[in-house]
Amino acid sequence: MSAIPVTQLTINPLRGMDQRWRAEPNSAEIITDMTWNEQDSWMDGPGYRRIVTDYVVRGSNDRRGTIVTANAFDSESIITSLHWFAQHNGAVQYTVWETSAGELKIFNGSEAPSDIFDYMVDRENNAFNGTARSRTYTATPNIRTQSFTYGGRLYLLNGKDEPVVFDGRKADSCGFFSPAGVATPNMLDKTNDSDPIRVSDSNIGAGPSSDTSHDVGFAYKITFVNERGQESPASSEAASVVYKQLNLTTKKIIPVSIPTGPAGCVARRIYRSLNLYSGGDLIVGYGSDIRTSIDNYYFHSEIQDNVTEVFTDIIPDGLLGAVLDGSQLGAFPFNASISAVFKNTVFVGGMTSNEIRFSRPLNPEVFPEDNVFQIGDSTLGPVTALYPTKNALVVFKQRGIYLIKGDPNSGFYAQTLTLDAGCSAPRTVMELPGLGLAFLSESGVFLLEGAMTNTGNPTRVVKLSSPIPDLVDTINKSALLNASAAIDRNSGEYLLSIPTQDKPDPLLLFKYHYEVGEWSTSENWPINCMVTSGDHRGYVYFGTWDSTDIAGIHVISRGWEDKGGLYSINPSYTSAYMDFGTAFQSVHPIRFNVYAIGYGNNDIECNFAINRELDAVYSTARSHDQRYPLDALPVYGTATFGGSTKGVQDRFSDHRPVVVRFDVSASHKGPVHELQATFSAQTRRIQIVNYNVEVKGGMQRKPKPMTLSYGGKTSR
Amino acid sequence: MAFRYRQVFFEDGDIVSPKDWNRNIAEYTQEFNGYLDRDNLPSSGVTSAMIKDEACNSVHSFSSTTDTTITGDIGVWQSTDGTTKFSEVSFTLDSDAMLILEWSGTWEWSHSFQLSSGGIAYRGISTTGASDDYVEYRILVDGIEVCRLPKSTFPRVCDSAYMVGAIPVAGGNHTVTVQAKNSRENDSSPSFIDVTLKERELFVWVRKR
Repeated sequence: MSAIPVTQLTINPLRGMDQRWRAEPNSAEIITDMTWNEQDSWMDGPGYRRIVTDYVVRGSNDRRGTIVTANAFDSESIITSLHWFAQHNGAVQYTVWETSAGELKIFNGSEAPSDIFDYMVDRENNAFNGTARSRTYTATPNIRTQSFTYGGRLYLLNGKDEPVVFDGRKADSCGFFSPAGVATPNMLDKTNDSDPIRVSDSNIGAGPSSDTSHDVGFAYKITFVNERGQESPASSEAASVVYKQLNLTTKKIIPVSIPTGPAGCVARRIYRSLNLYSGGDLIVGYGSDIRTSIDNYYFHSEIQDNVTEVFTDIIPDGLLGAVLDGSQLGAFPFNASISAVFKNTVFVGGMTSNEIRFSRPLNPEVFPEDNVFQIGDSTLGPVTALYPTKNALVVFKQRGIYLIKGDPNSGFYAQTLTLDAGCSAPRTVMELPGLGLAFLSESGVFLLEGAMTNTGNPTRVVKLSSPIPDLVDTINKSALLNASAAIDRNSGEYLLSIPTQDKPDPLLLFKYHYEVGEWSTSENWPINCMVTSGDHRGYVYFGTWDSTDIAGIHVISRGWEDKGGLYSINPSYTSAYMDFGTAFQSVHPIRFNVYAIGYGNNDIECNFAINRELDAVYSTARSHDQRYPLDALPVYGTATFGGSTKGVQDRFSDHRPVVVRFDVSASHKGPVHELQATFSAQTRRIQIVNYNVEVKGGMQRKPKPMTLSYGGKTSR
Repeated sequence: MAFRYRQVFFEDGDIVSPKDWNRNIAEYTQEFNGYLDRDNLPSSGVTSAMIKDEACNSVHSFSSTTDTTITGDIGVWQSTDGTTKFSEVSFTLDSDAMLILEWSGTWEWSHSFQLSSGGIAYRGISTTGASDDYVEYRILVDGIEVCRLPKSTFPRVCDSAYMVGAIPVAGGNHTVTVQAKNSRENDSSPSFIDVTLKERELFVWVRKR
């Protein structure tokens, strides 16, 4: 009589989630609260905490020893959008957030932890505090306030409120929303009855001095200029002033009334026509006159204030500057809600049509009317997102992806990439380092990969979420606008906050570990918006929708004990089902050997399920220290400086891989065809490198692929 | 936001590893040497007594009451009459800085004048043609013009002015010079009239990075 041989199956390396029916044995059905690291193991994942600590409130009970604490975010409203930008090469940073109370706040940590923000103020020092100035809040899923940075400033737009630009001190209106008022020239000298102002120098003043018997005439246009040098659309053409020169040596000077601009206007530019008359006749066409058009206006001067109401025009035609190109001026599209900067040009969309408008190069607030693309048609849904990557600006529609290429000098043009996939969650578009552009659509998570140009590296859309169909099924399609994403570069993760069918406000997190191309997940993340700091810290911050239990801005870190003090971190790795049915008639698992990092006395737990049963074999998981039994390594809680553990002086130790053995049995369950193992941490820390399964196998089989037997190929 | 947060969590029962400590402490030490921000310092936590003199700002000035002559000539900028400089300072910077430059001075045309019946000073009719004469001033940093005064014409017998400008400069040696030009639009008779530059002061405010 011979013993049944024991077969040892090594599962290595461990990979991420694959919920397809037939998955590789080294993949997992579910991984929660874990992070893949570059030593090729899965370790306990991060938690989150508010960005500022609690502080002690010195109340009346203080002297009796009762400590009452508070947090600056205790009374914070729902955080609807979160933005980060820096100036001076990153030396000065700003974290800006918007709340459901209509506030715009800027983080200021110099008086933390009790006082941590300043309200953003406008030019008149009105605070965006929900009262003096307020931002629109919509409770239903919406695109939220989007931002882009240009020239060290933060531009905020949501399609509802006036777009604002924040320069670190104040918020100003973006560009101008209407043309400048009309400039009115006349011949009255306001200081001396009706006599015209005159000058006896023929070298200055408008028009030829010889036209004492013929009419000369001039018209003006003006534009407003804000402190960022952005110019408004030009005023409409005003009535021209028509007169005759006084005599051959004395010319009349034209006083011109000009309107003052709106708040934010710091200068006005004056443009003037040439003499509209030739020999006393109004030039109406091209005729014999050498001038090609009387419609041209030429730069006259810039009045660098917003106070002057009248200026006197003494500039002769020959000293006028460049011609005014009105087609290069234009108002800021006030209802734009999405934006991107591409090749020194700002692109905006999200208006009520399929339009993408783009700015004049280097002028982020000037949008000429002709700078427009019509993207797709109405059957493909709205334009949902813009993202510059590689050599193209990617335009996402709800169902369709377009590329805008070119440059400001040779012109931009649009190309259709695909009409099969699109983006439904604008805030999920993120660039995965080395891979491409990830985004969430109605049917899952996709990746736009390739060079976006003809370099032999094809540009294509691939589905990233194929391995996690069960998770994708939980997505609440009607609340996709609530989804948001961020890149955690410290851990190499694409964090995707997902609204689910039971929670339209996101609580579930998909994590794509882009360095290894694998998925995991985590629960209890009440993320309403998130952002990654672009500095050397690379933190991921998020604002919550839960203003009751866990309000405020939080930072993600593996250094936290839990999730916001409200939810625990429960790292767990559940393998995919290993199918023994093709190799053995049945097996009996007898042992799991887990190659884990020896963190100490806190246990690692092991359980397993068989044959796709609903319940695990053990109602209570087996557990074991994460160390060798004879190790006398000092641990926190007992080790002291100068103390000893098991007769050995306490000292610093190190973490190293150890083998943790779990003897198991499923003989009471009958023959095992499929096996699934679960490893988890009893408290918090865990790191699994790989594991092996020892099974007693029954009769072995030698299956042949049918296709091969029939003369076909072994693969498609 | 310049706050830092620990990156490793450990608890009772975990093996005491220096890597955990070092990783968390490194999170803070990475902020030294240039990354500390206003968030890291309490409001009013840094007082002027804590800052070394001239760490942020320094001032250099030139002041004189000694008369000097700006000789009339077409197109020639002058910084001295051969003996006395109009205004000039030199200094050495150990870092980048913004220079804010201010100059003020008074001057007088050397020709005698007479009073009009209205009591307004002007030159005699005998100097016909000299009414085009003017004097103008400018400030240069290392030979680069930073700011310039409008022309002050001959009929203004005594005049004074103030000009201000700013320019970023790199560390190293720098010279700030005030130049003047006594000229006219067309070089025709009569001969030029000298201008006597009187009290003047050049003030250089160095705002260090």
